[in-house]
Amino acid sequence: MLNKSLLKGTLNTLVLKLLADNGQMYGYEIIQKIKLATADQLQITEGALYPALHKLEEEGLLTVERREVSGRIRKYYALSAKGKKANTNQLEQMQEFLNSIQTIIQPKAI
Amino acid sequence: MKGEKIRAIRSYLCQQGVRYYDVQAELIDHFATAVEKEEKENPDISFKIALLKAHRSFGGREGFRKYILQANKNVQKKTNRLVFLTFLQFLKWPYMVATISIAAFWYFTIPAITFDIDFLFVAYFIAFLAIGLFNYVSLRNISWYLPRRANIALGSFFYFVFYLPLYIGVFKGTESWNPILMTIFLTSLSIGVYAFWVVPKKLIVETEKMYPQIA
Repeated sequence: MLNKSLLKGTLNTLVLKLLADNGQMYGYEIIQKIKLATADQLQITEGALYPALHKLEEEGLLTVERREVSGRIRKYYALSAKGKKANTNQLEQMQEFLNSIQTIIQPKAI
Repeated sequence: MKGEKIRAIRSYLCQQGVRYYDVQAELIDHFATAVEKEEKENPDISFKIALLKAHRSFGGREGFRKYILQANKNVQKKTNRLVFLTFLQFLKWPYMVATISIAAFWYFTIPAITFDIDFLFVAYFIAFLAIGLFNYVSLRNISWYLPRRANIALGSFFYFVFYLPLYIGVFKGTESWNPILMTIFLTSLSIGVYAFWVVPKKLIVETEKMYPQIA
């Protein structure tokens, strides 16, 4: 499993990207998707995910729909128009960041 | 999942200090889904053990504490936002007409007041107190926290942040107060009385829209 501190600051980007790819998702589904996609290398705790989702919702990046599923209310999150823009921006920034890190970790031979 | 198990999850979450319905609703679904998955993968597991496993993956007691703390902050923000928007509408059409009318009323009435102006402040104080008490009594049996929180937040804001500092610090015992400043103060108090009256009701409507299932 990867060091948790590496995940800090990237959680929002991951959530936005997942929602961009999958449309509507609920909290548990997001966690499972990340675990599955990263073969359990990235383990996001629920205690970290839900506050992040609520913050993104509050910032207007996510829209919410509540549906009744098997006798309980399920909250589905999706990207808003603002969220779609933010996703594109954040992915570009993340890519640049990763490229920069890469140049330090594996400098090209001169 | 059967209603009996969902009720057991709700009761368990309440024991952990999760009181608010929207926080509860999301967590009930989360725990129920986690338990269902656990029961599917391991049919011999008991409901209680599956529930405890779900709790552990949430970060245990500490994970809950952090989560609830964050949820409380969100509630406060939601309330503040609604209060702010209620005030903001008085600066926009058509409510602006009401604001100008109230301000004009006070501006021209203040010089004509022959009684001690302190009576006016006391009258506003009584109006706030009466509405606050009325709201408190009418919201007492409502389990939705947003209207109740709004009532307390609005009452506290008006008394401690607005009314008390301005009344005691600026106007009380002053013979020659600025009429424009006084007009602004009295106009704001009038809008405040209105906000105090409508915001909890608006929050009930908002809650009903968000959670028609519990309305």
